[in-house]
Amino acid sequence: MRLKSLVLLPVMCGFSLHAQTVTVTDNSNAAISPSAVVGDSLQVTITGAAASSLVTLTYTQNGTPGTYFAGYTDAMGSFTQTDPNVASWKIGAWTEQWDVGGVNVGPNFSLEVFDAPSSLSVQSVAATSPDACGSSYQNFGTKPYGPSASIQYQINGANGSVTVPNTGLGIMLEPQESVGGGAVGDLGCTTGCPTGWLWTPPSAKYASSSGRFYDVPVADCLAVAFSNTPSPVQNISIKIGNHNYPVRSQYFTSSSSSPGHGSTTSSYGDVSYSQ
Amino acid sequence: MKTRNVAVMFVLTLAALCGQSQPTHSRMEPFPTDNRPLSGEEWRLQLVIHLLSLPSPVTAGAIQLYGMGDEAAVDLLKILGAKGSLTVGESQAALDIIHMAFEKPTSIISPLNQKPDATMFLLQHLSSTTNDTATQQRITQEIESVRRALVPSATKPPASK
Repeated sequence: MRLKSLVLLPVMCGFSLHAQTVTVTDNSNAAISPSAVVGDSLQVTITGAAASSLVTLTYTQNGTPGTYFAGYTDAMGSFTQTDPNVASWKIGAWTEQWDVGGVNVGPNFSLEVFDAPSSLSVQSVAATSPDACGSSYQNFGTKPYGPSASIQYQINGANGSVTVPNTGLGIMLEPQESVGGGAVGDLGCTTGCPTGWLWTPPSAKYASSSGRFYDVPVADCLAVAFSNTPSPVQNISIKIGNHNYPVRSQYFTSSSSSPGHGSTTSSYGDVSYSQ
Repeated sequence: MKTRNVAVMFVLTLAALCGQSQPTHSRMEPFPTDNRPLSGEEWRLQLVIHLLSLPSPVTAGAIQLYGMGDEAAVDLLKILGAKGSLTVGESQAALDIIHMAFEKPTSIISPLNQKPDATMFLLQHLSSTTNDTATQQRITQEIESVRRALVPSATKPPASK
């Protein structure tokens, strides 16, 4: 009788004989799970834990500890909770340890919540070296008229900085563009650049850890003089994981009166370049 | 006849001017990019590829690497398989990556990645293929570091306190 009671005890207490698991998934951008970007839908799922027991999260956010009572598991020892819109106050580096009924479930794992890229600011505009117009790149040898600039941008988050120390997401900001409604692709290259690529610093595949990147060359080249000619619209976005965040839509108006010279102005008015 | 020639020349000149009235952008299209959705494993491989290109000591990417454990070495082996060999700088960066991947063994998300099988294989491979004394010493240190890190957690069930 005593043995039978011992066997029944775990069942009465709701202990599960299955492995306990915790999974944190970014429903909006699963590839970067368990990390997330502000505005994403983040879901925690616990299975195989004690039934009808308190679910507790012990965490640190940027090193500051805290505790969150999330709710109770169901009769099967499962628990699901979704944050449909991760808030900006959650930006930072986290550690999370979930437990059910006082028993740890899964590892004490790390994640980060990253600000959503929302805009670009122009950091610098300089002449490219060499000049794209008249260069051997893409048959521009016969088109020496026009401006040829290198623009450095800073990625800005919707809530301020896009940088979080020691993060993975922060060094995986991939500037992309679509010009004239065409295909979306990388704005920069690190390796495998097109044949004849002439410029340094290259507009690398990923922005720097401080959220800066180059668009080079920004050039309008022609065989003859021209004035006040608008370019196709350039839509720039920042890709994180599988999600693109639009940050800028612009066109450039350019003029050139002689070979090696020219000027261009962005539709925002924050790029005004002449050579 | 002369009038006809003049008309033809006028049309040709007009066509030439029209053809040149729009400046041709130096880069009309972005660099061709494979934008197919990445799985979590594929995204983390991209992260490791990027980290490997950074100068040692690599400190970025720690939050993601803490959860990867042995998966980081699997990714490095994939890169090594594609490249054939690593430069001295890449080897140092690879050791930084491995160090971070096992720096917090209790943070490794998948139990499968808590055992450093691929890591030890990679470290032994790097040891056998480098003549750089500093790299050799670093490899020895990392082997010890990974072994020390895993002694307590490798024998504990994931859910235990």
